[in-house]
Amino acid sequence: MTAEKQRIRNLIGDHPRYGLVLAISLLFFLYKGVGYALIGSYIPLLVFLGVLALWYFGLAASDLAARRVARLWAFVLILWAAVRLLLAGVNQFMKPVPEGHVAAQLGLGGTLLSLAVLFCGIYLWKFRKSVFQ
Amino acid sequence: MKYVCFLFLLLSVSACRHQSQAAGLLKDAIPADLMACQKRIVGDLAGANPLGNGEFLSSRWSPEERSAARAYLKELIGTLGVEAREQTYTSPNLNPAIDLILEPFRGTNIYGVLPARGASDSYIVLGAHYDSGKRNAPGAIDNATGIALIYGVVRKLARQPIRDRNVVLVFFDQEEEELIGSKAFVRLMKKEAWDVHSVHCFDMVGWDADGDRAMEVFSASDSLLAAYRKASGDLGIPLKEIRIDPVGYDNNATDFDAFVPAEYPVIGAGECYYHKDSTPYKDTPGDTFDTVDFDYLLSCTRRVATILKKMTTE
Repeated sequence: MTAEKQRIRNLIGDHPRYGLVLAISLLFFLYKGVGYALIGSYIPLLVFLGVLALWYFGLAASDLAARRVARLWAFVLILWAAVRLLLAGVNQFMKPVPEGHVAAQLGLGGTLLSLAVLFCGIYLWKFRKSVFQ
Repeated sequence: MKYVCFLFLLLSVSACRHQSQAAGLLKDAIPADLMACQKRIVGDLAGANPLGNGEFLSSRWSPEERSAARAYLKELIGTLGVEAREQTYTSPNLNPAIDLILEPFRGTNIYGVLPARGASDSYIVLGAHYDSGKRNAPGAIDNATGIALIYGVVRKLARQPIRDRNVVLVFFDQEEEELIGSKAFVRLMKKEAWDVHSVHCFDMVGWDADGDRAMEVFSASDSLLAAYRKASGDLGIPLKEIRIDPVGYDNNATDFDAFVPAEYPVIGAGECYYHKDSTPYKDTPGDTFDTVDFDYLLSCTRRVATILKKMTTE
């Protein structure tokens, strides 16, 4: 068995919750990427494929590399959520955004989504060392 | 932890709750008299009158408000004996980087086709946006007046014994957000491969402070400008023309601008925005029913109806 397969097996077998959170976060951005690609915007899908490639090579290389990729992905998730939460805060408490479709995404539903991604990011950050030792 | 999960679930259910659309938003029959009809439509859309469900459309800015406006417009189109259709679209954000953070634009144009009396592949498109520019802006002049004008014109055309072209009436969503709705409709027109004779876009037709009844038009089409000029001359009403250069045209101000790069013969018309006789209440809570000059709206409607009657029979 290759080291890469062993690490994936460990991730799913020994740390199923971590594997699940990681899978959910990746699937969410895959869904966004494919959705945008279907309407002619390819940047989100390209970014996702870049992240997927990082995970592939990180898991193939070593535990240290996998841990670094986990740290990077967790940071991206936290940053993504933080930007959205900041926009929601500005929209709610400081200056309402003039665009209707932006404001609609920064309401309760959008804030819950941002919080969910934030929790995923924090979880992946917090437990990365115990998973990729 | 259990309580946190329960609270999260509860909030999620609450956030996903959609406002139900009550049927019958059109309270009574639309009046036969054209001015009363236009007052009714502008009043309904701009929150001066209660709708059939007892609620007021105080704005047409948020997704919920636009959804209610759509339901109303579908009923309104139905009163013309025309089947109302929806074009639901999804469009990426204008900056690809924003796609990483936010969801795409989602909206719905409402349109209908008044068919020619005989077989015809030729189409004339009449369009006006139905969204309003800012939250709490009732959008009476911008652009309930455009909708009322198109309704009045199509009602006249529907009664014509001779009509040699199909007439499409379309109410665009999200004009105020970089013309997303009209750009989506351009894609639909291309997909349907309509043989388009001309496109006429109306935006803000309710302000005439100097009382000259002048209408402002802008186009790159000589024949369309000539048609409007002739009708205005015959009626003895001033017309203020702006001839635009379609080469490298890159404006994003009004729905008209979406059709120029697509090379459709298009004309935009409305009150004299560029000639400085236009509502000062645009995109504000002051854009109310009371500020609309209905004599002016009626005058513009009659002028456009005269032009369209000729175009549909020539």
